[in-house]
Amino acid sequence: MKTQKIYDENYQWIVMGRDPDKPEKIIDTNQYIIRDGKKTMLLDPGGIEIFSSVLAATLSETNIENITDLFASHQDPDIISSLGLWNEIIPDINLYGPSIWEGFIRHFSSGDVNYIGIPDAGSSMVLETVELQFIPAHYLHASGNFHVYDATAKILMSGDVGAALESPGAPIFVDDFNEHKEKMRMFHRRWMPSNDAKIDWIRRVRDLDINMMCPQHGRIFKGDDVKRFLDWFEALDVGVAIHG
Amino acid sequence: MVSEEMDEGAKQFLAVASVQAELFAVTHISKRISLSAKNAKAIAARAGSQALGFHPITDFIDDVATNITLLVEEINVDALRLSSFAIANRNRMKTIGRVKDAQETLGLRADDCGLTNKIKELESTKEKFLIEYGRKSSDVLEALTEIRTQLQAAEMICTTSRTEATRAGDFQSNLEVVAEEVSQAVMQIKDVLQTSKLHLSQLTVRRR
Ligand SMILES: [Fe+2]
Ligand SMILES: [Fe+2]
Repeated sequence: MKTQKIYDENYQWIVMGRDPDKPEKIIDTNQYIIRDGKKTMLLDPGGIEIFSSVLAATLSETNIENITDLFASHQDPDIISSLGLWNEIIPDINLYGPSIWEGFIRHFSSGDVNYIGIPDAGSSMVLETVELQFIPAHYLHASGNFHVYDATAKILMSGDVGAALESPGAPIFVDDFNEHKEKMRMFHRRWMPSNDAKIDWIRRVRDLDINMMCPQHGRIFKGDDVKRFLDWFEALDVGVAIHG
Repeated sequence: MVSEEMDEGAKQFLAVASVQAELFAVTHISKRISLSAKNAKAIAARAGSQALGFHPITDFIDDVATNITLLVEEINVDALRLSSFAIANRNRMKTIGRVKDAQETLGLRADDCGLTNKIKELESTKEKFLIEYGRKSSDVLEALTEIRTQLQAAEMICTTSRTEATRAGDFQSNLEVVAEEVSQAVMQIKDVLQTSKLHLSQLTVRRR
């Protein structure tokens, strides 16, 4: 699995993905690590099948006793079905996830993980030094859904928003937005259910200072591409399956 | 390597599930015994003084059936515990397999980052768990033996009831049928128990 530092100051953001060992039929995912002193949080740690690769990639950056927290943007298996494995090797690990999904996500473990529910309105936490905000992104696409915003690094981890279905080995960053948007169109039109939710999210996200928007599939948006994405998404009609 | 370990876990789980299924069959049979006993009681009542010797026998058969049902209920509680043990064990084996894959990828780094020690920890938990598992399955084995004692009593009473039936005059053949039903049911339970014991003893052997 490829790892790359995307922010490297007093603490680090690292992206892991493009796993060559991943079984072919499962969707490719990006996992993010925030390493902050003796604490490390994994954002959307992924499914069971890629656990070994994610664990190895994480441990190439930090020690096992420093893996302290997990974050799940929503309840999908590609997000958090590895929970039982993490919980087994690190029994006191914390999982931050949407409150409304707690009883569901616990099915991915033996049930006794330390689950810290994020209320619908959102919340925040301090890892060791960095403050992370859990920004509501409900119905994008799950009914309880959060993104992670780091105001210091100016990074927004945007879960399935901004996702693209890419060929294996695609670059980490968007290099040509016009070309890239075609890889996102179907995903957003079909998986995102609500234009109202989309507009509300865009309005709130436009108020944030963002250098990088990091989705769970596909490529990272940098600088002006973040704004380009928001404009493109705003104009896109979503929830299309309802039209038949 | 991983798949071998997974197999072991899956076999444990399957064995316990088979025992549970067989015990379920035992409760059915013991209900049938109880019904036969009640039937015999009714026949004996109609036979009046001719079948006086039959009353305590039917009561006894009914008691045996009740005892077996109670024992099976007890064993089921243990078997349920055993089956969640088996599932947890299978999960742990899978986890260890996956963590070992990461260890292989990490090479020497696995020692420095604490993963090698973590694997040792997981393996020792697995060992402790297997000892506990073995203990629990011997408990179930013991309880199965207890049922066998009950069955021996039932067999003896079947012989006695055949003798008593001969004194029941017109009702002799009716009572003989009942005695036969009970003795067949007892045989069936014996068969089922034999299979259950086999399942469990395989587990105990595999543990070593
Ligand atoms: Fe999703
Ligand atoms: Fe996803």
